[in-house]
Amino acid sequence: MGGPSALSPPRRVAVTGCGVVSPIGIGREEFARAFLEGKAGLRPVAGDYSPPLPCARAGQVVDFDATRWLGKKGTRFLDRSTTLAVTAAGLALKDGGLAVEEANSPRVGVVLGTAMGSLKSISDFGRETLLYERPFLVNPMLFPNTVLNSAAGQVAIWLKLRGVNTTVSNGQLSGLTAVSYAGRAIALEYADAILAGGVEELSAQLVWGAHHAGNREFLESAREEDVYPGEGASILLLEELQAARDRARPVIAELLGCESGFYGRTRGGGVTAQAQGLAAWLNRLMRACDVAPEEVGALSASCGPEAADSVESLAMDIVFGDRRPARLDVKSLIGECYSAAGAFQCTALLAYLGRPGCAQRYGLVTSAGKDGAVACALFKRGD
Amino acid sequence: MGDLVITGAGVVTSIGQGRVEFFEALCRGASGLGPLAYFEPRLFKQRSAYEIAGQVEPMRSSRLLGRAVRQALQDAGVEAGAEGMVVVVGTGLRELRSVELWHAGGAALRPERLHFADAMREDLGFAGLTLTLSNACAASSFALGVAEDLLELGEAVTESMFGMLDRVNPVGLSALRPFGAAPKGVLMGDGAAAVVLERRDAARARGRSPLGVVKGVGMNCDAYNATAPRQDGIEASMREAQRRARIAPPDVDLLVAHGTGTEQNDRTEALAIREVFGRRRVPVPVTGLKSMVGHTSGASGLVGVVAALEAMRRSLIPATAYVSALIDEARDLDLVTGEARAAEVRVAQVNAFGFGGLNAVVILERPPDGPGA
Repeated sequence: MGGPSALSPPRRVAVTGCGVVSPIGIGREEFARAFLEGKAGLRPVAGDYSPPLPCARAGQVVDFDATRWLGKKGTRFLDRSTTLAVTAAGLALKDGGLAVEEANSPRVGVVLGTAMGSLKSISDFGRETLLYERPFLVNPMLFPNTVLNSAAGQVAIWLKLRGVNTTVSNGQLSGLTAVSYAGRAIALEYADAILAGGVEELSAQLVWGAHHAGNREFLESAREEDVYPGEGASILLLEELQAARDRARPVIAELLGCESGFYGRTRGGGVTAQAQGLAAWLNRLMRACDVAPEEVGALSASCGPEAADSVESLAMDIVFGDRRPARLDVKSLIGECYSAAGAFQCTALLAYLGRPGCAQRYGLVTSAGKDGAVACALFKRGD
Repeated sequence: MGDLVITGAGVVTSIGQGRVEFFEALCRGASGLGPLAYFEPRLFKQRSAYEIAGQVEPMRSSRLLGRAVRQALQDAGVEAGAEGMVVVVGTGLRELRSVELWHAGGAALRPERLHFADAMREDLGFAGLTLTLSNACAASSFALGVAEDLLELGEAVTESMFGMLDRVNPVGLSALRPFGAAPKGVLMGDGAAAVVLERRDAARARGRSPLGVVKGVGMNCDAYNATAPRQDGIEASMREAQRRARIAPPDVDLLVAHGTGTEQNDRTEALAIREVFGRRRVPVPVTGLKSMVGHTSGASGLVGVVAALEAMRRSLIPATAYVSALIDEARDLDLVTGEARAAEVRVAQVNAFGFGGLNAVVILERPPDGPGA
């Protein structure tokens, strides 16, 4: 082994836990059941928005009460995206049964994907500087929420994780890039376990921002009625495989490898170039991990199969031809979760591979951004 | 994970260039300190620095980089256009001096030249990826760590990296004295260093004997103070480097200290070394090079690496020149002073600590098949 895309052979990376806060359920099992049943998480927009949001439906986590999960103490000044992340991270750690103590704490880290942090916190704080008599009369307790690594920092503080702490901002690819970054950090011995995933909160600022920016990726797809904004957090507990086996934890899946590339305007650009690029990386990834295309049972994509001319559809044509794996589409159930999308796709794939009687062993996750970036990851079902 | 080896090194400093000439100057105790040449001395409290004479402005940094990289490539027998090569550049202040000169109306500026990719492409004909990291005074050691990761992930065949100069104007000093008693303070120096890093099997296939093996790079951040070093963070970076290299403190035969001559650094680093290597008499020989070449900022870590490679090859440790009386905290260190010391060096550690609490520690090993050509 030791091909270019593969993680280093002596340090293999296992997924031993998942923590999810989503429009279709909280916790790994509830989410998996809802996903496999195809439960719809898109509902008419809840909450008072004036003016109304420019979308009829949305994937909101309507029943999420942060104090129920985290307690009242210390949560007063945390924003929604931070509480979503801290809750999902706690669930992932619990799901994996990993005890974080003084001795292992410096070797357990967190890698979170967030494209913009909490846009609501940033804009509310900016607005306050204009509302008060003097700009500096803003509430300083709210300032920490305006920085991108607020969620990753709070996860570390709440769960006492003193290892690698990284915030990845990579647009639509943020969630998948975070998983890939964390996998490499474990393979290269910078940490022994990492909570990795993405978080997105639905706010008027984000929805209107996307609307006015004309970002079709966010609110619309090829068929306009198909995609609505979503929110939530999806976090995987990644661990060195041998360590997971040593503590006799069931391995949900093994992360075999990750790849990424860029085919934006400065590199020629266009959907075709991006699709060809993604196809090349998919082939390279499978070759490096010694997995044949026909062995891949499922592909968890960032947009649905109805978008026939999308980057991922075209790439699947190139790589698989007529022998296509099952295409998983979590976005149609929970909405466009943007920063968290790739991480939700990972959790959905693991739910699919982990369902009773599943014969398939390998699955792919792909992300494609409107800027031309592509990424993919290959998982193998656990034993 | 196969071993990663250094097959070529280049260095340009105020006391000499090329790894052989540079090391001999170190062992002679040469000093590169001289009156300010590239700055108007009247404007500064500090009127001397360890500068490299005879350079043309602007883009002085890029030229120094080009010289060091060219030397390293030649030393390693690698072409600048070699397949799969990535250049990782560590720097404290990039080409900001050129920006100052441009702002003062003295020179034209092309913003894209500030990242060194153009310099690599135009001056060396290098077509691949150039990554520029700016991690203060630990930058070039971070660059070595990044290059190590890239190679272990199989994303590149060969790496070369380098670091370079910055300048500040501190209190009036006649010399920079690592671990020396008062007067304390830092003096900046010009410098660039480059090494070619590749897999051992790739070097073997090319028939090159390595100069040294990179056993591990420990990198961390104190997350404490913008400028002051923190002892436990420095200790953690040394322990992490040794853990990654799979060695223990008694295995280290030479420690090239960061030793900037400042009160804060020297005291903190000395205490951290004592903590990691043993509280009483520390057996590891320690040397500081900055009394001869000044503080070369982003380049400092890699300048130390080049010196350590030569020390391993020649079983000779250059002394910390111009230091006699030591600060209290350093009294228990085995600081090499006076003459260069003959000593077997199988494993060497190179410290580099930067503003922002950025620490990077490199562990090198002499190639097992004896000194290279």
